[in-house]
Amino acid sequence: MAPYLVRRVLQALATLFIAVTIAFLLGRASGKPAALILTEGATTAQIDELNGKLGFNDPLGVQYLNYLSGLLRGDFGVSYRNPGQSAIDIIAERLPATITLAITAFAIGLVLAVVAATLIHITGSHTLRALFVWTGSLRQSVPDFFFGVVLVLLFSVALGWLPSLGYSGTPSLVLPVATIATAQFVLYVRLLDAALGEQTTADYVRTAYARGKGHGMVVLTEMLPNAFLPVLTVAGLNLAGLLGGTIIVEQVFAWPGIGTALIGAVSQRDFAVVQAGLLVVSLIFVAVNVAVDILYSLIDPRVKLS
Amino acid sequence: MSTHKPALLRFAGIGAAFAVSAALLTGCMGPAASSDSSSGGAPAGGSAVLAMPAEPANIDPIMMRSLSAWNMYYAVFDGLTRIASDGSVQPGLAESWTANDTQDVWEFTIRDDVKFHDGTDLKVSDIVYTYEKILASETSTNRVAIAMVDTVEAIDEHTVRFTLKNPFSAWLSQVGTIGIVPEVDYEAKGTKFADAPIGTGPYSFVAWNHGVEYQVKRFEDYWGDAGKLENVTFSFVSAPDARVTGVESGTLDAAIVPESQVPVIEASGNAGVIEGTSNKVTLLGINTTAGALKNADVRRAIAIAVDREQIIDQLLEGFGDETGQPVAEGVTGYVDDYPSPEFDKDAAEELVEKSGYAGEEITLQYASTGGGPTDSEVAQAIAGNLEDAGLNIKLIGSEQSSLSLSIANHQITGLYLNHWSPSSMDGDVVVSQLLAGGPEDYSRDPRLAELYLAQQAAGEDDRTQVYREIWEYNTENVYNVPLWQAENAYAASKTLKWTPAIDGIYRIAEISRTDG
Repeated sequence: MAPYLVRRVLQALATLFIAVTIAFLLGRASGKPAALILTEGATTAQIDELNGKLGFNDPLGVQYLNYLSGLLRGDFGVSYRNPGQSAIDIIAERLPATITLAITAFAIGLVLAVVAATLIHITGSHTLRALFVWTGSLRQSVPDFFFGVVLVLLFSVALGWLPSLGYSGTPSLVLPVATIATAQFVLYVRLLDAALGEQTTADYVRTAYARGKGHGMVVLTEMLPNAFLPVLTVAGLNLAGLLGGTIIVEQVFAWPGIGTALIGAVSQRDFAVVQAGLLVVSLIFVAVNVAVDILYSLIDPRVKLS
Repeated sequence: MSTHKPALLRFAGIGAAFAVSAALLTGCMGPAASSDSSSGGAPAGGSAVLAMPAEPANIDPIMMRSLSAWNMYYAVFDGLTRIASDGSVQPGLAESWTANDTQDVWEFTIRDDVKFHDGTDLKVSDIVYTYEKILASETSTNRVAIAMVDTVEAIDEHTVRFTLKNPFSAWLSQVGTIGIVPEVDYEAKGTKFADAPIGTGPYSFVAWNHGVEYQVKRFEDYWGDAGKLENVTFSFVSAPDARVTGVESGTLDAAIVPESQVPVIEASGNAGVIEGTSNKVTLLGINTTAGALKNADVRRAIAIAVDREQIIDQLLEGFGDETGQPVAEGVTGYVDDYPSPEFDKDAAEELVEKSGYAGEEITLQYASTGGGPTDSEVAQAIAGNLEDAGLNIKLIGSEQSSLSLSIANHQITGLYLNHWSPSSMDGDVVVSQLLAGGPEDYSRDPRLAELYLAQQAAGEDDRTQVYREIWEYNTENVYNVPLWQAENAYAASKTLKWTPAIDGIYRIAEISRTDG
């Protein structure tokens, strides 16, 4: 386990290094930002002067080394639009809203999917399966953006039950969570249903029946843990994706998450914030991946972390 | 909150919304009726949530000059003058002013009854400090706006004198955009000032919830007309659809919305539509040194090949007025009755033939995302018009900030679709940027440089005449093609009493509620 973790940490560092390098280079390739910061009426000389003050006139190599040496000192740079805030603070400030939305929607989607798939297999009802799979396909055929707008038109505009946007307590969570959770549910219910289906003919299931276990107990205690393995990998990647900011959903609901912050920073060419954001997103991906691997080894005795 | 109609009736709006989402432009919709904004004796009090399309990254009046931040600046701070919602310049912290004949020495007499939100008195030294702080800052984006200041000094306890490096007739508008800060407090807070700003404005700061909203409350010791609403929240909502549904659902009280959504909002019945005149002019910029565009006849053809009327009617829901000058009505420099080029496809074709144009490709750059909500459709329509006149147009869409950088860095390859809205409400900056040496001036015509200098030194009475000459010269040589003066469409709660300002910036002290 220890050598495994050491190796994974080194891999993670390499991943992060590559991510920040790409972010740095792509940002610089999109042009010097001073012209966007200065409002109307700035002369070429004034634009050039501000670019110089912000360090964008230095050779690319020098800028890159400055950035890296800053990173090593724990300095992620300062938003040059708001020198009072460090870039990493801006991202840290937005993380809670994204985490709240992502974890809530993910958990609700996953739990409901487990319940639904288990019900299908305990009851053996084809009607139930058809119902879940059919409505699931319907939901899957609608993009998140459109589904969110439909929810708003129905529950905010027509019925007036819920706020249509913003982050102001539990009611404002309902619609964005519903948008993401339904999409997550569809995904897992199909995976679980298929995985449980594969288990029914397995030897250990026959053995369990032979030992006199009831059908419901077999599904819950024998089949479900095994069926969970393929879901775990997908769920891990999904959760990482959600934690990296659900840009579309955040836009639809004006949700103050990391996605909105990154979109704003990109369009304002606020490089330090973009780089800090991508660093955090990469970190989340790496961390979730390691967590999934460890979970896998705990659930499946055949998997050894080496 | 909006009045509630039976749910079934309100579903009508949903159907309309789908139609629009599917981009089925209905066209031929007449302009929307303005909601009643006559000022009655509205009760003072209540609150409002006002949407803004963008959140300013920084809301520090010393450091950051930005269109979105002015919404807060005009609430929390005062300038020496005040740019009113109709664009006129009114007294602000200064009750009067004088300028010398050459417009390069200005003296402002400061009111003596002004308090900052922390209870301290405004002193002339605070004004001197504000300007000197901006001038001394290496990274303040306001420095550009007042770069012409040579010295600023306190003459006595009530007078501040600016000596400019050159005549600058637009100085009165410019000082209206600089919010005055208290020296002691700003020095103490430094870069953290924006987290708890103190000003003299009609509203004082309550909270800035990053990414969500900015809250202010009425300042009871304000020297001028006190605000009518007690609490105001600026809510940051970047997605246009979310702004529409936000007002329809009552989550927001006012928001600027895409023109295409006006029929939807009217059909929903939950909110009113308010039309606001705008200081924005949409124009086609031209790199007059690029290929076929060097030829003045090709450029003249472009000016009359665009069917402005059809585009305004069919793509902008009627929200626009054709124009032949690059500044809008209400902006200093606007010339009354200045003609807009007549659409004439045949004459345009003749001009193209006469020019010897041989089918070279002409690029048309526009913002496919992040610009105006209809920029893509408008660019395609213009390209179609120009193709009809015999030109070979290649559309190049990009994100707005990439286009802005290309414009600012003088790197346009042909034509580009852009909008100009001078926040100082003065045409000076438009002329300098488009026609007199700025990044959008590709012709570098010495005659225009002369006219620009004449404009800067002209007294108030003579400026219009100089502007007329500049616009005529531009119409003759077609260095750019003004298309139309935009009108803004707003969705607003039916209980909100509000007349949108011409520059699109909220003046919250003037907003009230009928159900306050």
